[in-house]
Amino acid sequence: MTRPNPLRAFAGAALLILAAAVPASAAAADELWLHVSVDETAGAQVRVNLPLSFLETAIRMVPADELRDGKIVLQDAELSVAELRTLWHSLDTAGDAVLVEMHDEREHVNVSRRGGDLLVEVDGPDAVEVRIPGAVVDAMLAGEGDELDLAAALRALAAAGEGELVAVTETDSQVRVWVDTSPAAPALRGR
Amino acid sequence: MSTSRGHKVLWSLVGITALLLAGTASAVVLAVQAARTMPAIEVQVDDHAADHRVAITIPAFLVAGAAWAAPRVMPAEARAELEIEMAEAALYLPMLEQLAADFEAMPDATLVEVIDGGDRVRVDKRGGDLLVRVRSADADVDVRVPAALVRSLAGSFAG
Repeated sequence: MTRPNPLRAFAGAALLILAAAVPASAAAADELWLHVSVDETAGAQVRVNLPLSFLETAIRMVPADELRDGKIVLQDAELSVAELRTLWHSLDTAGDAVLVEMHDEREHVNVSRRGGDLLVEVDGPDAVEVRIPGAVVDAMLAGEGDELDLAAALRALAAAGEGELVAVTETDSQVRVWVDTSPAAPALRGR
Repeated sequence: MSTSRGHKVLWSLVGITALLLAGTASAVVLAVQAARTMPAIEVQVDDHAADHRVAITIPAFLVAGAAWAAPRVMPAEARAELEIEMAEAALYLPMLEQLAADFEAMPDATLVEVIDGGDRVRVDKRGGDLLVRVRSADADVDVRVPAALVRSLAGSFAG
């Protein structure tokens, strides 16, 4: 019978502890943060930085009649959530497509599905670009009836990873919403 | 012989008194240390207009004690209203407990920062604390709320 080697046993235990610890620390390092940045040329500057996981818990606490357990019920909307769900799923087979296109003297508005994502682009005196990952729309519409599942959307947003979601450039202000792994946003002017 | 017995009794009394004093002193030192390290809500208001400064520190045990005692000493009508409010709040208490735990686990960061004219508001997470700092022409306000205190209170109310 062979005697147990204490050094090997210690190395094995250390490896087990490391294996258990590394995924936890990697998960903490990869925590995704939602950032909102508003810069008005002659007005307020706002920065909001929150972890997506924290938002998911926080959204369940919003005390509103329309919002329960992270799900919002939209009523009296021109386009019901059920119709929105049908419209979105009908695009699964269509692939990339322009959903809405409007053009006038001042601006050009384009709502499309591209690479699985929902894109809203406004080109004019104010430039607007909104990109919602397709998986987030799927998760948001996964509920029933006129219910939008915001908590599920946040989970899908975390799974989608880093990226810019909203960029609005007006003549006197800029708004950005994005997701990344950094807890910090660009510094405010005059700090 | 009697003197010797008297000495023994005297020394015994001295010993017991010394032990009691040492025990009391240790208890006081431990209590002071516990009070210093115990989480506490801190509020500081520096009112520029009135030229006065207020600093309040509320230790966790006082918050917990007040939360326990308040319903027992308030008028029946107010208590009934409070019970209704608490029944509604009870739905959110486990979530508040979870939120405070999530907050404690997140890395230190500036969560909200606003500059509007001469007014500045900043909300930070530092260690286990939520720090709110307001700077304006009228007043400066600093608030520190330990998440552990919120978690513990939410947990105790949730039962």
